[in-house]
Amino acid sequence: MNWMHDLKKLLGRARRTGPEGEAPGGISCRDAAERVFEWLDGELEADMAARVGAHLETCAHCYPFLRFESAFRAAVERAVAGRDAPPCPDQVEARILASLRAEGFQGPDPPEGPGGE
Amino acid sequence: MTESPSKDAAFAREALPEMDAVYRFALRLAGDRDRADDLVQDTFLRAWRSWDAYTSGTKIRSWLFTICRNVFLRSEERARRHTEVVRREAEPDPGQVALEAGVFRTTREHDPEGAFWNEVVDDEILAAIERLPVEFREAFVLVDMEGLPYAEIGQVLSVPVGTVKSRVFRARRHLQQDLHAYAVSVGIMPPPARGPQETQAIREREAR
Repeated sequence: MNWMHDLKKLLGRARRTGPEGEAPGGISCRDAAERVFEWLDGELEADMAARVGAHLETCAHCYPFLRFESAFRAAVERAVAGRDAPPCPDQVEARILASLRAEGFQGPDPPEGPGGE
Repeated sequence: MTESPSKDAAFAREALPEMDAVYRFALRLAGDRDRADDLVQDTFLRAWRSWDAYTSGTKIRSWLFTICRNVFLRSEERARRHTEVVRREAEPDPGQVALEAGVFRTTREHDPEGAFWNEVVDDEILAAIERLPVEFREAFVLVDMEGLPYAEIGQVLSVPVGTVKSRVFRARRHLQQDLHAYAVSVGIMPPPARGPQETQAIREREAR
């Protein structure tokens, strides 16, 4: 299905440079822009996601907005990935287990994990 | 009284393995390790005490995050009870927020596709996340750092999905404004051109 994707992209680029016609994806710029975060977060139903995607990727007006939001998202992802929060320190874990046992907890200690995720 | 073995086993099996995740969430909410330590301890104690309220097999992480957040908000409230009244803002229409994309509008002439985001250093992005007001920070952390779906975030924050949507939007806009201001201050981006309203305000000031 790669060629389909390529063809769509090509058609999209053609439309971006072409005259203003009917709304790409069959929805208005406003309707598409409203859903940009939901689309990026994978929160839209399949049908709406397809329409919003088709619009954002092919509309001359909205395409830069999509690129802008994607670039912001990528920068945040990069920053967050570079500084993963540390796992719960051993002494805190020990303190928690001690306080749980003081309240009647009799289960086993949590398994030794690699720490963090 | 001795607890039933099944309760102990279920708690050990389901809740305890989430300690790292809860710690991470607590650290991002509270911003410092000492407070995060206390938050996690409180969270697990409360979870143990109210384990009967948890339905086995449902999203344990969201349930623990909910408790953690409640503990955090209560401690925040205690800290500021005498200084600040909690303000309740109306949640604006998310679509409106998306369209009033302040930074995009400001930078589109100079850098239409937001290439400058890539030049903002990681430390500055993380510091800006920590500076977000708490109601935005918690939504941002849950969606952008924990990757939770909006519906689950709604459960953690006890708000409808529409409100989650709006807070996530506003959190990102907030962050963008903050980071754009930084980009301007260090010369990555030019200062924004003054809008008509601002120009008018300056004119009025000068006329006085």
